[in-house]
Amino acid sequence: MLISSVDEYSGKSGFIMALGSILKDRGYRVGYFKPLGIGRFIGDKLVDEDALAIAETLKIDDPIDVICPVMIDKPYIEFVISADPVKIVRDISKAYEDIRQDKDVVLVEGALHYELGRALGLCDVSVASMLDIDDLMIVKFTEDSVIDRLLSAKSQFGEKLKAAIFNQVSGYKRSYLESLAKSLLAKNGLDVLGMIPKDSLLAGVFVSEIASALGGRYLVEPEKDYIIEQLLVGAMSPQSALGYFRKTKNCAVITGGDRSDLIMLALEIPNVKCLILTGNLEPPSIVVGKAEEKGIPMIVVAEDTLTTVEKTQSIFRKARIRGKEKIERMRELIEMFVNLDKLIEYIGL
Amino acid sequence: MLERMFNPKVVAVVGATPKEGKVGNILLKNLKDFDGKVYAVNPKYDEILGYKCYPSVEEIPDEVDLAIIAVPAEVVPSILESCGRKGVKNAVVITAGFKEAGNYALENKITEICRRYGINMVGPNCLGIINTHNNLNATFGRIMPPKGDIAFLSQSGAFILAVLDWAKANNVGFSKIVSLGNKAVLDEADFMRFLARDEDTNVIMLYLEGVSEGRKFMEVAREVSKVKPIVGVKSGRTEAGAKAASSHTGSLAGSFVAYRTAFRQSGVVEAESIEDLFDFSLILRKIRKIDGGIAIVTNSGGPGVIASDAVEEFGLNLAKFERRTIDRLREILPPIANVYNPVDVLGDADADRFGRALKIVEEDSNVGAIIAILTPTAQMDFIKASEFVLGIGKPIVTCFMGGESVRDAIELLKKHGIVNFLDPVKAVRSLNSVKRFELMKRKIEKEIESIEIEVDLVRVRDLIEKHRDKKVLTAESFEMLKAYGIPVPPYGIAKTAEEALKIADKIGYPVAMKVVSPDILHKTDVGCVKLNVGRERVVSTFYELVKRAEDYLKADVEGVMVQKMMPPGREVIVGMKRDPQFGPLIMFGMGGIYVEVFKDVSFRIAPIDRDEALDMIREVKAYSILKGVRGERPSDINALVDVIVRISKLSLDFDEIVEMDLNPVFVYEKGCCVVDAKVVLR
Repeated sequence: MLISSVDEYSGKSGFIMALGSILKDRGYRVGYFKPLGIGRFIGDKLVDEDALAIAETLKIDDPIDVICPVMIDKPYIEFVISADPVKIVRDISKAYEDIRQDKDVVLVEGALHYELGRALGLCDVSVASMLDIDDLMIVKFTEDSVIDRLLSAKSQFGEKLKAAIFNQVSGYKRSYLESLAKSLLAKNGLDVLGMIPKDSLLAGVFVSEIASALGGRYLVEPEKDYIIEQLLVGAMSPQSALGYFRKTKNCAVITGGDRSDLIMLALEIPNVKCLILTGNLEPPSIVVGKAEEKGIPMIVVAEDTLTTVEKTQSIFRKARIRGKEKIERMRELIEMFVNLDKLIEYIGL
Repeated sequence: MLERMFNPKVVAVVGATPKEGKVGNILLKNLKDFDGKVYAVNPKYDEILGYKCYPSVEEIPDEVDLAIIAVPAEVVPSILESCGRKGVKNAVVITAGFKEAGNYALENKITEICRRYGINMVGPNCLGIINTHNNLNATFGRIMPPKGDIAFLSQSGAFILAVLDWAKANNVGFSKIVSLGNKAVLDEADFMRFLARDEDTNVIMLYLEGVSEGRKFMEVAREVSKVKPIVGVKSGRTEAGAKAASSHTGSLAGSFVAYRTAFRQSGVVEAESIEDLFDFSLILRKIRKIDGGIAIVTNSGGPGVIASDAVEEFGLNLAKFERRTIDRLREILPPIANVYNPVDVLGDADADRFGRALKIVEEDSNVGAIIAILTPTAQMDFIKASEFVLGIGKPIVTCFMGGESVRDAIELLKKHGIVNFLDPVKAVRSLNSVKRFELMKRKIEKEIESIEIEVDLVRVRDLIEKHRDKKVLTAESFEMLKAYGIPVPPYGIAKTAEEALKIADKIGYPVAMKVVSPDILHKTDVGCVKLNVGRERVVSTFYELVKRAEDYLKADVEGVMVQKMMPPGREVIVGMKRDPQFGPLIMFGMGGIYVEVFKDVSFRIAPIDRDEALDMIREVKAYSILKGVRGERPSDINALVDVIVRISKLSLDFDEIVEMDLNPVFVYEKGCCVVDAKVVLR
């Protein structure tokens, strides 16, 4: 089954990790395939980080260059111009045949969004017909008009797309979406198999991700790679800060290294899981020692607060599902909010 | 339990050394006048400065009551172990290099050792302790203050040095001095408890940057204040101060309001400056109560007027003289002298005239305390005037204003415990500290009334469990309040427009509708509250509200709350913020949009009984509005008292609730109703 998304960062990878592990637990032999990988240079190696992480999580032993036979290794337009479409199609088909062996199901991950690769004749729509597999659309509920984009996808996939799962659905909207699913979407031949709610833990990022993105230096190393769900800028008086600290969950506080008052207070609040100190200012040792005692990481960065906030926020926009805690959470959500029996039937198991 | 610490028979100085200038050397020298036995401990010597020296505490042939430890930080644990094995129960650890240097692990280690052996430890990182009454100077400061009856506990060692120096120059005596250091084992409350029973101590003076355990501090202070006054300065009141205090002693910047409230509720007289700290302590040594008004007797009109202003400004009363007093004053004073309060004996008065006027004023039954103000005129014999002052039995303070010519007189007064001020305003401020102490003491002596109210604990427990992930509760907070018997309007949460209509039909019209969203805290500001909605507008209002909410910051919307529209009443606010040090800090104030401007609010730390709640309400300026102005009917104050005590109980019953905000609460002629509420969970 091909798993696509209407928009980028819709949660496909996390969904595949969690669904794959559910299926494995139910005794199925699960494979994973990503026809069009997005390469990124890490050190001097070109890798698709998502594909690697999924293969690792699902303990898949196929070699990575078979799992991900084609990798976009240059800027997209350059890639399109230089690519040999015939060879690419051949490579993909061959790799897929290899992977299918001895598997009950292969979860095929679509490109960043379902239309990517059209210029190569390789978008998800083409992949579905090439491999002759059905598509499941993951729809991140960013705004109401996403349903138009879903319908537009349906018209391109035609019979290959019969099911969708909404992701990051929040609040009262659920009841309206439910009635939409029963009326308009059903009429258009789309079955809504689930609505996964927004979850702040999944949207969180790891302290280590923040530290490396900021190029910061640990004054206190983390005891555990906490997941940070919220950011708070500490520029207020301790009294008002207390109110904000309390209203957050698993938050990182960005403040000046000279704000001992805020730092000491933050260290008393269990919601605060990381301190990011700007301006290259180190607090006095009595304060650093407190963080050590509490096991709360303290990162010193050279930049000013505004730059630090902007950089940190950009990591949040691309929060990925990694690590046991997040995958477990995603599994729970799927088990609670997705009709698994119907999904398994849709996969054809 | 600290008896032996301050009155030891045998003291051991661990880390003693013959090397001049070293702490271990100064400590030993400072003990030369001590009334007990002293041993030195250092494996390198047999004798230091004439004291027998042993390689370890355990080898001292005597029982040791107090060990003063000045060895490198990493050796302190083994020394304390050795003290523990030897059975030494009291230790002063001078050594630094613990928490203040970031080494929390080492500090935790010595705390653990002390707990294991039951060692009462002062410090580490402190100056030491002093008991003037047996000449125990267990500090490395070079000055021993005169004997006296003020005990001084300080979180800053260097500040003690300054005080000692000043005390000596000004001949102010102390009973005990303790440098609290890092407070790894013993904290201010432990010493306060001991000093309450200490016969040599009449007043306890505190310099604090933070307390270790807020509730313990309050509990102990309440008990101690019944016996003797505690005067305290809490530094770090402002953001700048808090920043400095956190860097200095790692103190937690709890809200200063909480400190001030805690001080007041436990009888601690708050001083705002070092000068006040001394002024208040000195005056409270002798004067604990003022029965009646303040009388001013002066030879100079100007300062008399200044003092009268101050009396009024501090909320004290100028005594109204009895007829007899006025007649008697007229008899002895020149015709142009003022015989009313403030009494002006005129600039040509000699000490006799002044003394006679003083005596007459003292005999007036309306007079509770006297301020005697004199300026150095040619006729005035200050020594003689002081003798008259000393003959007065009622509380009296003096303002002998001047320099050289009043010095000897002031010394004489000081010797007899009379405090002199250069500035009449300061004299009044100090008398006011007596009044404050007296009022607080009266309150403390009345036990907090336990309140029996019926509440649904289980319901609140369930709500907290269910919404633990949420942090900020809006709609659910109404359920909590209801479970605690706090009146809220009927309401429901709608997820669709049809549901909204159903709920409104059930409640009755008109209704108020508000968006429920954790992302929008000030709903009214972004148009997410609609009042007085009739049946025909419920559906369209539902859509309008969710559209507004979504357009605003793409907020997450949980639904729309449909609430019975309550008739307008007088608006008040009841709130709770859990202070990290002292626990639930309950707030009461007038509501409305100007609340942030006027800051007309009062605070108490829970538990609050009905009397205290009533006091809170009376304390705000807007109380007169609640009572009804210009013929308006009064509001139901009792209903508000009820809300406050129930919020106090709710916040004590559930630690998980860290903030509550009932804003506004409408109060009517009869009853009240919480119209909007928010609860924050830990």
